[in-house]
Amino acid sequence: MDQRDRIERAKRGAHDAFADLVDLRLARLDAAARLIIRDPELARDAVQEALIRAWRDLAGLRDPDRFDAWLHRLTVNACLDLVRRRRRVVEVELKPLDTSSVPDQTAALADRQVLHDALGRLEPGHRAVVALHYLLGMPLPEVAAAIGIPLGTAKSRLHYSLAAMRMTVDATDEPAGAPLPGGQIA
Amino acid sequence: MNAAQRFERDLPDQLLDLYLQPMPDYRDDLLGRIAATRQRPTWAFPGRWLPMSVVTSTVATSPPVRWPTVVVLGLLTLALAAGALLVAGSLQRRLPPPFGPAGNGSLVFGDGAHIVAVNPDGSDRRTLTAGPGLDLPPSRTTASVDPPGVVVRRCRSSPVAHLQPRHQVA
Repeated sequence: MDQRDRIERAKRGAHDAFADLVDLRLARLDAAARLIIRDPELARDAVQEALIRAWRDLAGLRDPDRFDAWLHRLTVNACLDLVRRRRRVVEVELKPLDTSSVPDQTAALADRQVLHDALGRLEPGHRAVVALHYLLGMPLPEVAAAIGIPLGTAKSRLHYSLAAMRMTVDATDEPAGAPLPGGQIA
Repeated sequence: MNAAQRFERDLPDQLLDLYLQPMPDYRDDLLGRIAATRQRPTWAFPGRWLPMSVVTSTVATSPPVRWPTVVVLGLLTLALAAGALLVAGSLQRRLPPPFGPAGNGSLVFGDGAHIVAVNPDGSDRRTLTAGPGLDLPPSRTTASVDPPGVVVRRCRSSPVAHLQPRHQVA
């Protein structure tokens, strides 16, 4: 059974067809939500809200080929709504005090942490563009339509996000106290 | 390929490594909640009442007004109008002094006995009807406008003087 059949059956109320659709997408939607919200519990709430709404309003979807774009839009809007509602709460992320002595085996984990921190410095709206484009593979025009922003704004957000993330990662990669050509320590 | 391009190329895989999990543990809970949720019927979506051709057709809508652009365009238009007025003002040609039939000619008047012509500034006084007797109209002599000049006639005979513009006396 292909996707169109599953969607048509789900529109007629078949729970098993919708469960198949969910199984194929839940992990990525959850990843995108955690990237945007940066809180696993809230991400879970956002994904559940988006998928329940998708089930409830599935009959309103005319073109089955637009199912993924529609679902991504529901998810990212649920995430941004949750972030707006919780904007007054200041969250402080706890980090390990010293990562200099981690063994080589966990260097990759440290790199991930750097990227995670770099994403954390972005605005939720910028993270939404990154998540939709790089994690869910949506073209930028669809990203712009999903979030409800002009294409130029989506491009600008993506460009800014990439530059900011790369700057953070590059700054972390530079070893502190690297010897200068003259033999002095900076 | 530079560092920025490498970073962008590797970013999707890094994000998947960072955030993708095999299957979230709330999957069953979610499907249970979905099973308990009723779907909205098709007729509840007003958009489904319209033909697909209407929904998918491109609707010509006016773009949103961008006020900063409008202000800049307005100022630019004003500046262009002011510049055009300045240029037009500087290029305005001054009219030459009247010449030909429009030019000021001699003033003709009677001085008590004869008919006299002078320039408008009072110079170049000329007696047009010299001789014995009075030459003032209506006795014997008339001075009439006969474009482009003034004709002085004595006793309705031949002209004795014909003042052309620019004070020329024929």
